[in-house]
Amino acid sequence: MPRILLLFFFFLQLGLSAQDLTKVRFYIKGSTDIFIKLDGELLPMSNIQRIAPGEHKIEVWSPTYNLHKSSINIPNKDSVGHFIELKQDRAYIDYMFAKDEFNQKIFVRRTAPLLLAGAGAILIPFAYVMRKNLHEELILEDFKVEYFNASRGSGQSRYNTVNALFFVGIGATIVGTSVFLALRENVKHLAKPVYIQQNPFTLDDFKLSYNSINRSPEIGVKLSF
Amino acid sequence: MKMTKHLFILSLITSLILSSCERKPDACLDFGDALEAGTTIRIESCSDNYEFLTWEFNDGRGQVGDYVERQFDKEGSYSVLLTAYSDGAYRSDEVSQDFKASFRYIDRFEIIGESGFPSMEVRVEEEYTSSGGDDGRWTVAGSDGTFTADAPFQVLVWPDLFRVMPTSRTLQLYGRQGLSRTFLGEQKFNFQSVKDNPVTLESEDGKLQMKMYWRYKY
Repeated sequence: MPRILLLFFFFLQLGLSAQDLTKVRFYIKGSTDIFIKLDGELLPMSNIQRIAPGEHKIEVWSPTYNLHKSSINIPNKDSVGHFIELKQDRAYIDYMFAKDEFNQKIFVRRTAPLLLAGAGAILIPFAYVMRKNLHEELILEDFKVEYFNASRGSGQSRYNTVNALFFVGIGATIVGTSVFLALRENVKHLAKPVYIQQNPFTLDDFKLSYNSINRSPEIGVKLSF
Repeated sequence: MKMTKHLFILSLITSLILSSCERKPDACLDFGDALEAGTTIRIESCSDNYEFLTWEFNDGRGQVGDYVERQFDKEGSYSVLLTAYSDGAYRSDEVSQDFKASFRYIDRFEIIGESGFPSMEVRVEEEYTSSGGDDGRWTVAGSDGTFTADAPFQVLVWPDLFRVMPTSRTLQLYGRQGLSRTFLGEQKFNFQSVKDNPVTLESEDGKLQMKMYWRYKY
């Protein structure tokens, strides 16, 4: 019986020591991956941590954000919340601006000319056929007005419209193709923006480069285009 | 690079479509220099490589089509401008032709074969005359003998103007001796459709053959 009582007090003691840790729920404004170092120890990646009450040194880092260093005082409670706002890395902001600028250059020098040329090339055959038919109608309409006293219809305006479309299509194709070909080398030599940041805890490099195909940043992969 | 190739091929195809060479139309008219007035006539074209034709006459009338059916009510000089269009009427070719429209007039009658009559009488009669009509009757002496194709017996009508009306007419041939008149043969022709020149009439006994030649005024 005394042995059983001894074991009971032992486990009770263990339970009491577990209750000494405070459940801390971190609300950290950063990216989805949060790295927390408490008193020099890297904590598991979770926003809920059990920390002993008292004063602690805390370091928080998230990709594309600056390393946050501060002290945290954990009260002796069951659970507390702690809010930390990480500051965006200046280099990442520069990268975002560079990415937008790169996007604009790619659009102006490659995408837009190709779209223009493509739209023109699609328009030309349709406008060509319609133009021929409407021109034939116009000639016949003129003839009937002159010889059959027929009233003039809208043949002239319809022909003018389609005629304009036809030449706009040709112009768009020529201009689009010319601009695309002229700027092709320039586009090839455009430097794509890259953002590299080192994880201060693991010393791994975090790299963002720009995928021009799906037009989105990608992590850790570098494509030449 | 692949995109550029596709674009280049697309441009090439478009250029080929655009430059697809439809042949130039060839406007052609060949209906002679005289047409019959007073009846509906059909003018054909010998044009080629066209999509449609327009016909413009100098009397202010125009038509669209492969051929023209019209009537010239007045005799005189006319001209027609034929335009052949192709390639959405972007290509065209014109040809103009001057012609004269005239009624048909009887030029002469020629009779070949053996005849025992000193004179011959030729009649052109309307089948049904409601207002007297314009029947013709010509009697010419000197028809006794044998006449060949090279030396026929002739009854000249021109330059008297006697129209071959585009209606049904009966040609009749009589032999005359003194005051007596012998019927030799007759045949009905519908000159609306009969355009033969000459038209031929056989006598009932088969001994004589009469040909009626017609002509235009011009």
